[in-house]
Amino acid sequence: MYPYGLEQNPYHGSPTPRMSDSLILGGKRHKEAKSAMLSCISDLHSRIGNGLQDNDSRLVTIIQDVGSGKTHLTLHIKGLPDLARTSVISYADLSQIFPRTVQSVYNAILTGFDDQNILELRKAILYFLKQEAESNVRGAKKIFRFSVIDSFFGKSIHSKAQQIIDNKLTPDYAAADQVLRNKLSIIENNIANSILRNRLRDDVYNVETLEDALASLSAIAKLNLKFLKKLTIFQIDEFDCDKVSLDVIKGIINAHLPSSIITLNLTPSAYEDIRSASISVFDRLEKANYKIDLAGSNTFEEVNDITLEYIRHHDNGVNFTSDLEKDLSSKIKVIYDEFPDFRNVRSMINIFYHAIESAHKRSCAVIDEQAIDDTIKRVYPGLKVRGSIMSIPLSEFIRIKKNCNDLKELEDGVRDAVRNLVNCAHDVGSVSELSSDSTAIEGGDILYNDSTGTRVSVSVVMSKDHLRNFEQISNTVKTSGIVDKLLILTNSYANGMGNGATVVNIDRSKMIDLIYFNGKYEKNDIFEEDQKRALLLARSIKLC
Amino acid sequence: MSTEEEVNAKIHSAGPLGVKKTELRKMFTGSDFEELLDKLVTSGDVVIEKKGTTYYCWHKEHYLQRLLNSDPKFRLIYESLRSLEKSMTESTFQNSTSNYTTKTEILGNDPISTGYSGSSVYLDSSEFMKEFDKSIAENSNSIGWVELEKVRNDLSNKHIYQQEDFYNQVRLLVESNTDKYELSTGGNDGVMIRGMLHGFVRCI
Repeated sequence: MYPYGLEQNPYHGSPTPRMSDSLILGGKRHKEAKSAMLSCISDLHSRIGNGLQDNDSRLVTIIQDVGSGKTHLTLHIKGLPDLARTSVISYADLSQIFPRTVQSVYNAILTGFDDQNILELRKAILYFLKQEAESNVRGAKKIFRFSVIDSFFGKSIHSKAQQIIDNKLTPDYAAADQVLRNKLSIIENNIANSILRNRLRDDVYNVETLEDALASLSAIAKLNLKFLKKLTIFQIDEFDCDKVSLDVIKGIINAHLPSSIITLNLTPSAYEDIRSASISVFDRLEKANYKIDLAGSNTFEEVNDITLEYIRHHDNGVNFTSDLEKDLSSKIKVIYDEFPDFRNVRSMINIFYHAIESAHKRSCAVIDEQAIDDTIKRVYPGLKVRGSIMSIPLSEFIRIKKNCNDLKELEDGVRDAVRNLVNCAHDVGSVSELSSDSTAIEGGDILYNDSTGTRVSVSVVMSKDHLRNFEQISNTVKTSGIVDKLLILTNSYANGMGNGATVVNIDRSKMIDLIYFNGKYEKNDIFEEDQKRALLLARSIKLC
Repeated sequence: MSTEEEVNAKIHSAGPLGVKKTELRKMFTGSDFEELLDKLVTSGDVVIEKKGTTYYCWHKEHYLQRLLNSDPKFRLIYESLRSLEKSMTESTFQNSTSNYTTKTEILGNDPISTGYSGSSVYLDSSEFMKEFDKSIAENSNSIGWVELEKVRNDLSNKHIYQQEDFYNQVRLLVESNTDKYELSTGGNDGVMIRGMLHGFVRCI
């Protein structure tokens, strides 16, 4: 069993999503983008039968940085069951096409239709021909190889049609061609016939020029509208400034493919390149009907929600309680804050894919700090917590940081750490022994002589109330007459306050480093290397 | 706002280009204008210098920039001093990182506080953010993205920036304001993240 009672790893290990991975969609911005897209589709579909013109089409652009979820969103929309009632969707990834020619791009679009869509269209065409046969249209019965003998044996045209649909009977293609010729254009007829033969994708051999390709795409869109009452959506991913791509897309846009939506996924960099390469294509993109914006797709809230959504989706509200969600969110926050390299969806999913595998191997009920630490060490071996002098492992960093909410406890922890740091420095002769009379000055916490004999008093002042901090610091400074040097460690950013006082501002990372050192010191876990680091830590906060 | 504060603000807004004294006199007609200006000069807030045949006024915050722009000898001495300070700081804290409190203490509370690196003149973080936002607003395309190179060139027209220093400031700004900015890959120069050059920025 995986953590959170899951039966499988909810995350995908591939850098780009597959159709099955894209069933899950998290993140407020991604969901808003999905709504915008569905609104566009719904708007156009509602015009079918209500004045939808033959050349009514829409252009949608999705422009965002790499790894922000463009492909995931696109595939998610393609896989929506509700959308299958209103649309036929083809997904083509231009980066997978080489060499890039009109034919190869057209082929990718044809391949981008699901088999299910093509079967459905084939079935619809056959049912249309069946109706023609039942209406005694000349030559229609011949398609189904229906004769008087079939009537004697109780077979109907409908049952013959079903046999053809089930591929148990081959229709008379020549007869079908004759009947359809009266209802469709030449190119539509060619496409319909290739669909009846289950050879739609072979149509690429009929395409020599861009004009041929556009005519075929237009015919496919018209067939979808006529026989299925559905829109055709052409999803083009990884659109760039390649000349062939630009020519094909410009042609598609200008052709106003009937009852169609063209969606283009590209990066801001590609958008700029297109502007330089072809101002006419750029201008058309600028005037797209819908510009889906995934702005903020890499903010913490978005990345957090997406990461949690994978577990929620597989859990179905059984084990993944709100407390567990909060706990996991706090770990995601630490990773997000500490490692700017991971502030994007793709990286975070990759980390959690490995982390959940690591937790699973140790039979953990949750993704714990150890799992994340193991993942970072294994998958990103060069990565360390920034600014940590004690070289704190990530798992310890996460654990300590999570418990850092009580400032009073933090202050006490830092005070103990500083005391032990002075002791440690004394062990190597950098400072004199810690004075037991630390109350020599009011507000002083630690008293010692440094290596030059200077009498030093250290005061730790921390609270959320910065004003109170400053007041406390000021009072400490005023009463420090009997020491040579007053060192004030505080979390309130304050300048030096004269009177020989040195104010050292320490941030949360430094506090965590101190607490980590303290933990090791109290367990007698300080070895030679740690001692050197401890000395450096002491110097960094001006203890010696 | 008092007249003195108005005069101060007007001189400040002129930036490194300064403002003519005669222009100020026309704007602030009154017998006490000269007294006010003397007061500001005495307090050190304003510097007056003759440029050609005309007297110009600069705010102290922009006068240094003016000297760096116009006086090569001053600039060379200044760069040498900053380089010396930098190497002294680096040798004292050899293993330090940007989290070091002592570095914070030396430079001020804000890691990007007013300070100098080589021949670059840093703005403090709030000033930099203001200028950065303004440049993005002025240069972004219809979908809000702008090349960082353009922003750098824009800001370099007003302040001296080494490329490395500019991008360090951008990195710090973006990392501490993840809800406000986002970066994207591509471009000719920019910030390196995850081993990829991010040369585009926009405000969310």
